[in-house]
Amino acid sequence: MAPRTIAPFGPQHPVLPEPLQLKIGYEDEKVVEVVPAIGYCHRGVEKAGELNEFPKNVFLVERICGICSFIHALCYCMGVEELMKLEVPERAKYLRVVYSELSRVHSHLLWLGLLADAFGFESLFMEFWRVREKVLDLMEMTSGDRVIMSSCTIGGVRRDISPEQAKEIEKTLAWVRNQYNRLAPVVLNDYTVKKRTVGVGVVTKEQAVALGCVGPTLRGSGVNQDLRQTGYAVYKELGFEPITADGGDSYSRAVVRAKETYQAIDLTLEALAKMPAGEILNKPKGNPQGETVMRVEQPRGELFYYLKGDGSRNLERLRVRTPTYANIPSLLVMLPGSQMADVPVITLSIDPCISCTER
Amino acid sequence: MRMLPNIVRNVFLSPATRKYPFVVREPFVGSRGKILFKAENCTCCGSCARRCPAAAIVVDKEARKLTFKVAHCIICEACIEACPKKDIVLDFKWRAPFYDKPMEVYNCPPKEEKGKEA
Repeated sequence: MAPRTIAPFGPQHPVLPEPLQLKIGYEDEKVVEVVPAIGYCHRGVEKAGELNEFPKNVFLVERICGICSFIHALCYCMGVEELMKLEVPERAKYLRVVYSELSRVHSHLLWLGLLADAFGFESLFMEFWRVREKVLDLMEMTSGDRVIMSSCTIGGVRRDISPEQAKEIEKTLAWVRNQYNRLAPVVLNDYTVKKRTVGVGVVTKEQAVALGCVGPTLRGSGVNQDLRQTGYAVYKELGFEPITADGGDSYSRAVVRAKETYQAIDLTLEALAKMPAGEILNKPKGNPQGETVMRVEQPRGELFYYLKGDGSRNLERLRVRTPTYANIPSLLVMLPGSQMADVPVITLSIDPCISCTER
Repeated sequence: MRMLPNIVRNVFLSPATRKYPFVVREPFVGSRGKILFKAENCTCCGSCARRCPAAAIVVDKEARKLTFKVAHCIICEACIEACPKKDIVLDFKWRAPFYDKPMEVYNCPPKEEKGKEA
């Protein structure tokens, strides 16, 4: 029996895009215990949200995460709209779905690239990111910025998508799908990739529910749960059905994300086709009063906002819980028993976003 | 082995990247590049300064001066939406990087002028 050694994995590690630390206790090459440590990039966004005036917070919460910035703004705006009893125009709801799903396409493409990078498949990583670049271009064309879109605002959206832009989106997404058709089978069917992912980092259905996993981590374990089922914005009209996989391993989570990319492209096109004409912004009047909880589905899982307003320009409390925070406990089940060499792939398979988690 | 068709295809494709300093991509129409203050019709009302989430604009009503802290600006367009005189415009081209934090000070037209117009 080898003595137990504790190795720090992170906060600075080649495979981690962001500073997450895992103190890994291992015997020989086998991981036996994991202690996660977070708090390396705390920025005090929640406190800043209480000091800012509530319309300015939209720009603040967008900066919590660089990948799903739109969905943070969407969740915050939906919360404030509920507090102010504000009705959002129908077209704005469709535009919100278009932007959300574009975010999902680019987030999943980014993750598939990072996964390829985690097991050293550099050319696949670059291929995914090459495709993703076109999606970012679409975002810049429609909203004005590649990453921080700032298109969501309280009461609707700030910019409309013109028919020419809609045509351009359709054309580009057709190209993205065409390219993605060539790349997705590499992740899903390639022998070497499967060797690294199948049966690695298993979390069973019961464990996933008990640990409170969210998003693709939960759906990869066979639980049919997605917040888009609640039908916020116009997901109800679009006939959304969640994608699940049964394995509970890294491969299943990759399958869920790979299929969700197709689904997100479809949802974007469907939303564009069904979009009614009309207003896009219902200007807010007054201040938020009362408290509410708002949940939406990010590419990584459930995003939770708690808002409390006291009738003034400032919110009394802004609380954000992001999907990675809910998914970190699952690492404590996935990692023990695995090989040290599999730790990067397993850690990445929950798609950790630490800037979200620590806010 | 599934990657092989992609690799073969890539051998015959042209590069996916641009030769940057020589070939520069034009920004999209509507891209949030930088904020420009015209300060021609400015009434020093301070709407832009109140709406700015980054506190990048300071309006001095007494001295009729508008100070724009360029390095603070997050290019969110809130000031453009707030301006009643449409005096702030968006430029699609991004701002070149700077070494020191520039401050742009604009002299607004004097108050009498506004009285005459009204």
